[in-house]
Amino acid sequence: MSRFTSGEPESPQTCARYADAIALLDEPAPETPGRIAARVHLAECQHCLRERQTLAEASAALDRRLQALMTQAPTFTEEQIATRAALFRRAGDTASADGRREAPAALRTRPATSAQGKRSAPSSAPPHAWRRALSAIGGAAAMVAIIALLVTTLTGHLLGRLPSRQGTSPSATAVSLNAMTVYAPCTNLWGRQPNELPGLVAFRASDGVVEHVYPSTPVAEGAQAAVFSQGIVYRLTLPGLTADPTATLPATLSATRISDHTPLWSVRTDAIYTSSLLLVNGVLYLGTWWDSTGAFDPHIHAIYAFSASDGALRWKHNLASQPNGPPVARDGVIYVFAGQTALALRASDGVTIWQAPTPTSGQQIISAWQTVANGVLYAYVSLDTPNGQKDDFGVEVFALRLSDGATLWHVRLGTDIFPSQGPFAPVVADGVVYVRLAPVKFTTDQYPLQLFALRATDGATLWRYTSTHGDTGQKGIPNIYPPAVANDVVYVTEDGGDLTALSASDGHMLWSVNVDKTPGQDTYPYSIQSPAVAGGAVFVISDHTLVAVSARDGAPLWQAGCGVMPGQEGTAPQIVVEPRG
Amino acid sequence: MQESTAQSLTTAQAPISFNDVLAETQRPLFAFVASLVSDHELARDIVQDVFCDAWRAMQRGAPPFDAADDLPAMRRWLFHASYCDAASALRRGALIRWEPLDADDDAREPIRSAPGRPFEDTVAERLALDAALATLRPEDAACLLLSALQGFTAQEIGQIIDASTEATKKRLARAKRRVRDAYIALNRDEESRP
Repeated sequence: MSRFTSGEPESPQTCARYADAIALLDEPAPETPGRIAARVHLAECQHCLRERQTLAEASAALDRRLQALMTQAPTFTEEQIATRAALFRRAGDTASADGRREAPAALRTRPATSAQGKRSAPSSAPPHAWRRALSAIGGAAAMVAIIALLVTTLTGHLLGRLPSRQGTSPSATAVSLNAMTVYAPCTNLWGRQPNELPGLVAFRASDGVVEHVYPSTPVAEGAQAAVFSQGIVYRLTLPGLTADPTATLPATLSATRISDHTPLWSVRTDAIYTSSLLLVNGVLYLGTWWDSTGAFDPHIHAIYAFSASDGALRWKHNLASQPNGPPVARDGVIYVFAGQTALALRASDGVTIWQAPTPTSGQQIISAWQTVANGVLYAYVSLDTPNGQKDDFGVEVFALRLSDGATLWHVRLGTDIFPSQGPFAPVVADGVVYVRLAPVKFTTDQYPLQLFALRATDGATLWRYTSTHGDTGQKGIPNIYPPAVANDVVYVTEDGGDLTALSASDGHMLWSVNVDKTPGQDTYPYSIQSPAVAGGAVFVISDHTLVAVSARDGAPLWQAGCGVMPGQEGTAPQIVVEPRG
Repeated sequence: MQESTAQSLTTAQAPISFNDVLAETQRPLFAFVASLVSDHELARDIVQDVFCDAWRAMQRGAPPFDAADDLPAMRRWLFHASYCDAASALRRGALIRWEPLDADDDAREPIRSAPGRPFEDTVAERLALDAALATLRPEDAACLLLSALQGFTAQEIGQIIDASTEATKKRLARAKRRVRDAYIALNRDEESRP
């Protein structure tokens, strides 16, 4: 047995037999003549003794280095990990969210030389596995296989062939919710319950107990949008018109530290109407219209950028037309619709990067809500009638290329649709664009919910869900809030208090519950808001009540009083779920 | 809603809770990843992601977290997942360099000298070893680190990095030699110091 032949290049300082002798002794094999010979050699050879001594010292040095590194290790607790696991997914890992990433179970059983058992995410595969596969089946065949795999995967995403989400265990839900806080904008303006509270309210996610109330400006007709970042809540208060029809109050932007509720700063804008607040890289952006300093002036429109640290105005970009919806940001660029034009502004100084006409066939855009995903700006726009004909009202979805604003596709989803409220931003998930319609027919009073699932690449309709609940007997403006998508399930609300879970793959209903505590009595149009999903629970404001139900089957978890704050245009009431602390 | 209790694998004897797994592995796991990617912030992110995956797997009762007492298998799973993510991060890093949020991250790492050991020797040793590890291929460095940190056998290391046992042994030997050479060079420099 000639094991004492090393394939490694020799060091001039060592004996040629050293490497194999060491390897033999390291093996957990039974004692053999080779091992005995190796042990004898290592004990007698001066070169090998010196080498072992040097290596031991180097190992000790490495051990000291690793011990020092260990002192820098994070100290995660189970609660922290559970919260992060519930709230965050890996980038590009939406298909394997919520733990469907397969554990490399084969680690326990498979042979050491097996290439199986890698994590399911291709990007996580060790590089040499790719090289081995490529060399085994040939470069050309590998490329064909890779392309076929990508096409299959993409098609599976687009056609919704992904498996349905597995339900979250109740214990997992409890652990996650205990570490989270639900922030909901509430008011007693339309409240009918004595325990309803004004302002932005923080509820404990596990049981709905009120943790704190951030009072809003004590002026009626207020609307509030809030964003949260690093322990600070940034709030936008829109007092709007007062009882004196000639007087207006401007919108106020403020920052409050969540831990001790300390006000950090507050600034007033020039406008009484603003879009929702957008916080990106320490800068707050919002679109404004209608100057508060004088009479109604439709020509004062702008995008503002404020420093989140102190509220200082970074820049203001005047627009030729009223911003049609809130701005969105991606990679240092702010995108906004104004009039018939889409604009890209440099986030650092507000300089125009490009502006492009929108494919509206001459129809005026009333409102435009945008979402950026995969290098595309998806906009859901409401169009005015050019000639006063009701049938010309409509909604369309645009897909514009982020780099230059070129139109990739646009589809018209409906006509004869009440135009003044919404729509709201489309939701893009797993290669599908979700938009909802609640067409208020001028010719009828019916407004059944319709939810469209459009293919993100070309706008083709993958499936459409039409509510069977349809006309709930309510009159006025219908619920047009967008759905929430999580773990291959689409959660959508309907007037009358229905919260419905649909399979993202084909739109079939998984479950539906009515969360309206006073069914049939609420005539206010915003009877139910967009849901928020976190920690295995779905949160929704319905009929002055914040309701939490199980995401798995809609089973009720808790409810708390929360009068709905009706958003002015561009300020949708929102529920935000954040890790506590 | 009831207050939550620690998630644990329910078996009759010696159930391993997730907190047990955390306590056992997060320090060596961080040292392993930080040595591979040479970026503490990135290493913390990777370790957090891996624990999130492990937590989800434990919720589903997926192997190896379905066995209540197989901590070694869980440890191998965690190091395997961390190695895969570190390899991905290094590949991405070759394409685009992400600047850490905290520019002084590495500078903030305290240097604690052992009693009787000069501070400057500790600094020099740290720099030499970090430089030596940085010159290794990730597979080789992983072999050395897994052996040094957890005492994994060559077969276990092969499973973790998805390589044959023989290849693992060669990589381990190569990595040890590189670190030894760095150590010898360090000592040579110290001896030549006036």
